[in-house]
Formats: sequence, C-alpha cells, structure tokens
Amino acid sequence: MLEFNENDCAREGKPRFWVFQGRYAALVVVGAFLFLMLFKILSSAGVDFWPTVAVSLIPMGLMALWVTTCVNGKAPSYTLDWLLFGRFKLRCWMFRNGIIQRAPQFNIRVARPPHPSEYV
Amino acid sequence: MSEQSIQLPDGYFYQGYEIYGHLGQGGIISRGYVASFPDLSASDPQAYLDLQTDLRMMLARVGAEERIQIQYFTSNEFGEDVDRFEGKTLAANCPDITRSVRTELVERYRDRMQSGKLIKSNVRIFFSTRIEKLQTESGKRIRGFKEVFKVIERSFDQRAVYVNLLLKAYGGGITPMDNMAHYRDKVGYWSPAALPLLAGEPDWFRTIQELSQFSEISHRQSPDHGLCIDGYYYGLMVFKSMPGRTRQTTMDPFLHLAIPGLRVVVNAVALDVESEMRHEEARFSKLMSNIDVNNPSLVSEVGLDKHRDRMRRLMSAQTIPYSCQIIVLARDRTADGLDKKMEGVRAVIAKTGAEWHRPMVPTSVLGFYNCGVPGIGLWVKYSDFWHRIDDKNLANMLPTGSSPKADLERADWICDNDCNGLMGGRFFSGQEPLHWLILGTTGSGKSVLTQLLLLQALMFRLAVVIDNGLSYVETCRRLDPRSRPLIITSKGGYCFNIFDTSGGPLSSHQKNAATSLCHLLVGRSQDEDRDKLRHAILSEAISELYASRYRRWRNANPEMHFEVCQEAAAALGITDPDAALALDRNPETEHLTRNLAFKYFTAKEFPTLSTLQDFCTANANQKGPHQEVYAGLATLLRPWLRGGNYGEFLDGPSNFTFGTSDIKADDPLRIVHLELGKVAQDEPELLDVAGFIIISRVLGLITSMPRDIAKQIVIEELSSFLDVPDGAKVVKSCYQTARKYSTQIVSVAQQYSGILDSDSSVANAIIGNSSGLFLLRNQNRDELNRFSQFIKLPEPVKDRIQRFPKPEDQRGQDDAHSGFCYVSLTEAEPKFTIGRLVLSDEVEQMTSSSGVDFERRQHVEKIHSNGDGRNGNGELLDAETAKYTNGESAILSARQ
Repeated sequence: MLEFNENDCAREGKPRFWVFQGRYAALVVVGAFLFLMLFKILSSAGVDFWPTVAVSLIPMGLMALWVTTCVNGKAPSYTLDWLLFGRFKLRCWMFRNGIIQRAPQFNIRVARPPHPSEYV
Repeated sequence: MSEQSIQLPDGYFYQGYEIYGHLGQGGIISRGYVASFPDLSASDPQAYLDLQTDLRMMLARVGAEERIQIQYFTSNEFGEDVDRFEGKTLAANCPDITRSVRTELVERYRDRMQSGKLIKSNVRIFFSTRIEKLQTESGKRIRGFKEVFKVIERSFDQRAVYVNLLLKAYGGGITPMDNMAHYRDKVGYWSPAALPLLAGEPDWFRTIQELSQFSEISHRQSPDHGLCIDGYYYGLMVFKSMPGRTRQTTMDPFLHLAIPGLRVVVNAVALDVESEMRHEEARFSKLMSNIDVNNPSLVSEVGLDKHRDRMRRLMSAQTIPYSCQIIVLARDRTADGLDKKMEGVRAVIAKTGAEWHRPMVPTSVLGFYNCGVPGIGLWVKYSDFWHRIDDKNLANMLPTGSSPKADLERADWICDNDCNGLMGGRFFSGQEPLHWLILGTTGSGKSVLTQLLLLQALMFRLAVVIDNGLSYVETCRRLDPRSRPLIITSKGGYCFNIFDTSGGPLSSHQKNAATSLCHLLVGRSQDEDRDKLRHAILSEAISELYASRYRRWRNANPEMHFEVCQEAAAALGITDPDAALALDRNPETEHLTRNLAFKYFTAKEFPTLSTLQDFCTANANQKGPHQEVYAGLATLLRPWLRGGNYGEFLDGPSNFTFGTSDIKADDPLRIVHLELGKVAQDEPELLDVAGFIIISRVLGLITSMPRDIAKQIVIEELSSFLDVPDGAKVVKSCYQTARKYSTQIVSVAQQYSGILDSDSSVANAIIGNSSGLFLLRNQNRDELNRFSQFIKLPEPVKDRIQRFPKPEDQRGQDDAHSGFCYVSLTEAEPKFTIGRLVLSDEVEQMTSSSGVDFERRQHVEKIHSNGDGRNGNGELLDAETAKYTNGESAILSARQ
C-alpha cells in the first residue's frame, strides 16, 4: 500500500476579521482609520451625529462589499480581470458605435521579436 | 496587473529549441521532450516509490532562472501506428483471412479515431531558462547568441541524458523534440483542427504564433464560461489549492479519465531555499507571538510543529521547495460535450483532494489558457494559483502516465488496451522468435486470443497447431484451405501410413522413423538383446519393402523412372541420358535414384503396415535364422492392422499429409493441424502413436525446413499434451532449441499450477525461455501466488487478472470483451500491459468454442470430408461451398 506524503504547504493559517481574510485583514485598520478621520472632519464641520456616522462608515462598507463580492472565494486577479474585460467590452461598444476604427483584440499579440540569427 | 500579464511572448523555432522574446531585452529558451513514462497501473508500490525518487531527481535539475513544465494530454494520434500496420498488411503475402482480419482492425481503429473514442496519452516535459540581455547598456546589440546557445544546448543535452538514464530503468525515456515536433505541438494546442492538415516544413523564420495560430481566440458568452478556438469549445479549471496529502497515485484519476481533448499542465519553478527558510521563520514567529500561556491555542501549537518539521527538512536539504500551478483544459466540438467533460474534470480534481476553480471572467480564462501554452506558458506573468509545494508532493502531482502500448511501435499484432487505446506486440525480435505462454481458466478466451494472434501473423510459412477439442478447425481452414485436422483416433476415417514419405524422397530419417514406430507398435522386450534384434529385423524388413516397391514402380513407370534418373544425374552435374540411366545400375549410386523415386509415388504405391505384416508372416513360414522373431513380430503387428483394434488409422494409403520440407519464403502459409482431444479421452493407448507422429513428422518437418523460414507451433491445452509419452521432452526441447529453426512456440494452458505440478523442469524451461506471457482470467489467488514464484506478479496485476470479465457473460453486448495481461519478458524487468480482446463478428464465429458453434463446425467438417459437393444428406451445397469442397477433394484425389 502506498503511503501518503503530508503536504505541509497546502494550508496556512490566515488572520480573519469579519469578512476580511488574510492580507485583506489590513483593510479593517484602513477602514477604521478612514472612519475616524471622516468622523472627526464631519464633526468639526458641525454635521449631526447620525449623518456623520453614516458617511464615515461608507469607506468601510465599500471595502467590505468589495472583499465580499470580488475577493473572498475568488481568484486573486479577479477584480483586475474584470476591469480588463470591462475595458475590452467598452472598446467593443465603442467600435460598434463608430467611436474607434479598429476592432479590439481579445487576445492581444505582442510585437514580432527579432529572429535569433540577428544576434549570431 | 495589466494586459501584459496575460500576454504571451512570441518567438521562433530554432534548431530544435524555442527562443522567445526580444533577445536584446533577455529572452527565454525552451525545449520540449517527448516522455514515455512506465505504465505502473499494474506495478508494486516499490515501483511507484522508485519513480517518485527519480522524478524528484529530475525536478532537482531545474536550477535558478529555470522552469519546468509537464504537459499531459490525450489525443487520438494512433494514425502512424495504424498506417504502419496497414502498410505491412498490404505488402505481405498472406492468407485472405489474415488480410481481412487486419484490415477490419485498421478500419475499426480508424473509425474510433475519427469519433474520438481511441485515446492516446502523451506526456511532454519542457525545460526552459532565461538568458541574459544581449544588449549593452548603451543599447548596442551583442552578437553572442551562438556561444550562449552552445552553452545552453550542452546543459539541456546533459540534463536529457540524465533524465533518460533515470527513466530507462522502467523501460521509459525522453526524446528531444525537433522543430517539427514543437510546431505540431503548438498547432495541437492552438489549432487542433488544423493538426491533421499539416504538411511539410514551414518557414522557420516566421514567428511561432504566426506559424501555429490558425484561429483567433474568442470568449464564450455568459452564462457559459470558457473560450472558443478553432471550432472547439474550451473549458478550463485550475487547482485552487493543493491536496493536504499526496501519494504517487494522486494524479491517477486524470490518467484514467480517458476522455479525448484533455490536457493537464503543471508549471513549476524552484524556490530559493534561503527565502523559503525566512518565510518559515516569519510564520513561526507569528504563531509564537499568538501563543498565550493562559489561553493556549491548539491551532497555533500544531502550526508550530508543522513549521519546525519543514524548517528541519529545508535545513538538512531533504526537501526542495517549489512553486507550482496546475491547469486542466478540456475541449470539445459541442457545448454539451464540453459540459460533460468539465463535470468529469471537476470530479477528478476533487478526487485528488484539491479544490478546483473554474474562472468565470473571460480575461482570467485567457490568462490561464496562455499559462498552459507548451514551453512558454509558465513564463506568462499571470500569477494566480501558484502554490508553494515540496518536491516530494510535486513529484506526486505530476501526471506522468503514458498509454500502455507494449510494443506498438514495432507491432506485428495489435489490439485494444485497457484505457481505450491501442497496444501491440511482436512475434519475432529481429530474427529471434519470441516464445509465448498463454494461461487462463476455462472460458477465459485463451484459445480465441491465440487464434486472433495467429490470424494477424504475416511472417509464418508453416504453423503447426496441436489442438485439443477442435477449437482451431475453422481458423486453420481459413488460413490454409488445404488444411484438415488429423484427428488421432481409430474412428475418424483418417489413415496415417508410416511408410509414406509425404511427397518427399526417401530419407534415412524416414526409414528410421518408420522402424521406430513399428518397434513402438510391437512393444519393447524386457530382453535388451532381443529388443535390439527386433529393431534390426524391422529395419531390414522395411528397407526390403521399400526396395521391392521401388522395383515394382520402376517396371510399371519406365518413363517416370527415366525422368527420376535424369533428375538424380542433374543433381550430380551429369547431363548425358545414358550416364543418367547408368546411375541406377551402379550399386554405389543406385540408392540415389531409388530414394528420389519415392517423391513421385502416389499414396497407394507405398508399402503399408499390412505389407510389413505379410512380409513378417512370409518369413515366419520360411526356414531361416530369425523365423521365430518374424513370427512374433507378425503377431504383435496384427492388432494395428486395418481389421484390428484401431481400424485403418495406421494401415492403408495415407489420406493425410504433412507436406514436404520444400518451402520458400513466398509460399502461402501451410497449416498442420493435429487433434489430440479424442485420443486422450477414448484411446489413450494411441497416445504413443500421437507422440511419435509429433516428434518424427512434425518436428522432423520443421528441422528439415530452411532455417530462415518463420514457423510457429501452437500447443493447445499444454497439460494434456504433457500426458503424451515424451510430451514433456518435446515441449522442453521445443522451448530450448526452436529458436535455431526460427520457430515460435506458443503454449496454451488452463491451470497455472497444472504445468508446475506435471514437471517442474518443463515449467522452468517454458517460463525461462518465454519472452511473452498472456495471463487471462483466473479467480484462484493461490494459483496466482504460486505462479508468482516464477514471474513476480505485482498485487495489482493479480487483482486485475481476478477481475477480468468472463466473455460468455457478455455475449450479445456491444462492448463484449475479455481481458488479458501481456507480460513482456524481453527486458531486465517484466513489463505488464493490460489489454482487451475485442472480436469482430467474423472472428468470433470462427473462433468460438461454444457447444453450438462446435456442432456447426463439425457439420461443416463432415461436408468437407465428403468432398463431392454434397452435404451429409446428399443435398447440393451452395456454389461457394461446393467449389471449396471440390477443390479440396481434387487435392486429395491427386495425392491418392
């Protein structure tokens, strides 16, 4: 019978706070800092308490929303891939509407490199 | 992250390498190797462990700035093998049925290739390395690529030799790919539909993407995920996490998936040990800082141990850290087909213990797709799902499985393997015949397998089938229409005249054989001197009989006699007719013409056993020195005469011939078919005669034939044959010496232990001289264990042999087959390949040994025996059968 080899690298403990996991746990600190900063600014500006709290929580809320929808359980490049794809779709729309003249390429080919014989 | 992160560098095919990127800015050199990994599906754990060690050694050769990619993909590229098999068939002078069987196989496999049901597993290993910028700081081009390339080429070659050395131990190896092979691989990845259309070499000065990408890549529309390329739908999954524990068979589910258009890509790069140790250090510190004495955390405690262990291994160089990415691609012509395949892939990834991820954003899919490009994909800067892994686990995660194909590249026979692919083997290795032993319990399909192999054989000019139960009648008849089984029994209507020279001249061997048989018939005397005297008298009597018959023939056929004299004279270089006739009058040369004359005797002109008995009786009635001995011989011969206990079997003109030893390489196949089943059951006393016939006639025929003519002897039911007097001696001698006569020996036996029990020296001779074993269904584990003492059968092989389906249970099913394990013993270690025996309707009808089929064949046999174009009821046969029957009848009439 073949023996199993433990794969020690398979799982690593990651810090977790609410929806924030791993390196994104740092966003909690960033969110808290932004909350405090906004709270102080708005308080100083004489805004009422509840609107101040609500507005100050917006950065934290946006970060939580982003982490929940685009980070947790998704590939690390998920957001950027979406942005790239969005740009491609936008270019497609622009091409269809005559705003740009060249159709966008989904798989962009790089420029032709020089042949190795040129370095011989 | 930008568009560049998913872009693929372009490059050129250059002297068997791929050169990517702008060399002035630092390029990448990659080379692929066609890898042939051993099929370990039926091997012991030790073989897996050895392979794991060797794979780790291979991985260890990946240095800094180097990367390794393993590509496993399924294809249906058996075209070359099937074309070669067909080419051999077309070029060969073979029986029609052989051509028909081989053509049917070719057509069947071509159909399966077209429908994507014939699957070949391929593995490619790509090593790649980064090269320094060939440009000065001022931007001036450095023309030093030639020297750089030489150094890299040497380093790659050395590594290839090393890896080859490792894999050779298992019968595997790697072969460097040339430009064309790289090109075909790239086209297979980007434009699979164009692959069969490739012809000739392209312009190597065009870039790799220009040459190989025949189609643009587009994404599938939501809600579907994947790509559309060159008329195929592509689906893709990635290993989101690695299994928590691995073993050597972790990736086997992929190898057993058996779906066409599957590709598994493993990209790996060696990590710096120092940085990995720093990483472990940092992780350890973090966990330590989490430990609170008052509030201990079990997770942290366990985590600490894990890091301690890994650090220990890293420090003592017991492990090499790697980073790897595993991508699984599947393609299909239809969306539904792809969905099914992706379900399979999903299940298989889960089975490995890993988590799967199916990218949904089209640009993610493209990124991973580019990461999977052979040779260069692992340099694409798309960094998702690269996992840290130790070399031991990485070795376990490599899909190193090739289709089990035995000796398909040089195959004389082909059949299905157990993974929807093809396997093949040879009858001869160069000039050396490969003896076989075929073992399987009753009903396991061993006779059918033997016949199918016989039906595929092209090179044999003589095949001797020693049958037991008339299983081979129809096969033999179809292979050689002149063939009739010689059923050794007194009730079969066969007559075997021991004095008949079978169309050849009289030889001392023939006289000796006739004397020995007659001596055997009269029995041995306890008195040795008397026994010798009997033998001498019989020899003298037989010589006298031949001389007497010759004189009679000479008087009756003066013209023929003259021709014989001329033929004998021609052999001596004499052309004068008078001198030729003088040969017969000269006592010194008289035997030349006399012996040659027997070549032209008809069956009725030879002396018979009755003639000998009459001669003995006459001498017993005359006064003479050995009157009493003659009388004894005459009495002892009487039971063997036509009116005796054994009918006309040994007394009368032969109605059966083994043919002559005069055979040429372009002659049609001749079959000698002996049936021993009846004699063993009903008349065991005739076994002596059977043994004699086999030794004197059959083996005599083979040894007197030209040695360069390929021959085959098939011994059905070996254990029964060993009951024949001297049977063990014959078998032993055959396995030990038949090689010299270019004769392949194939023995078929039911019980594995049967042959071991009968005579261990025979068993040793058989197994020691066999180059191939076919092991069919056997449910008795004890027997398998016992047999394992001779050839070590790994436990998985024993399991498979026990589980092979019984053909009779599958009768009528579309996928009916029987299983067998082909053990090749031509190399240092036995190689095990599991195969399937799938028959066409024609072959199934021909080879079936069921009761119904047997009776049908017996009926046909009777019809053929009549020889008058009518069946047993006197009814006229259809034109084809009558023609065939009458043709055979004419042959026999001519002989008689």
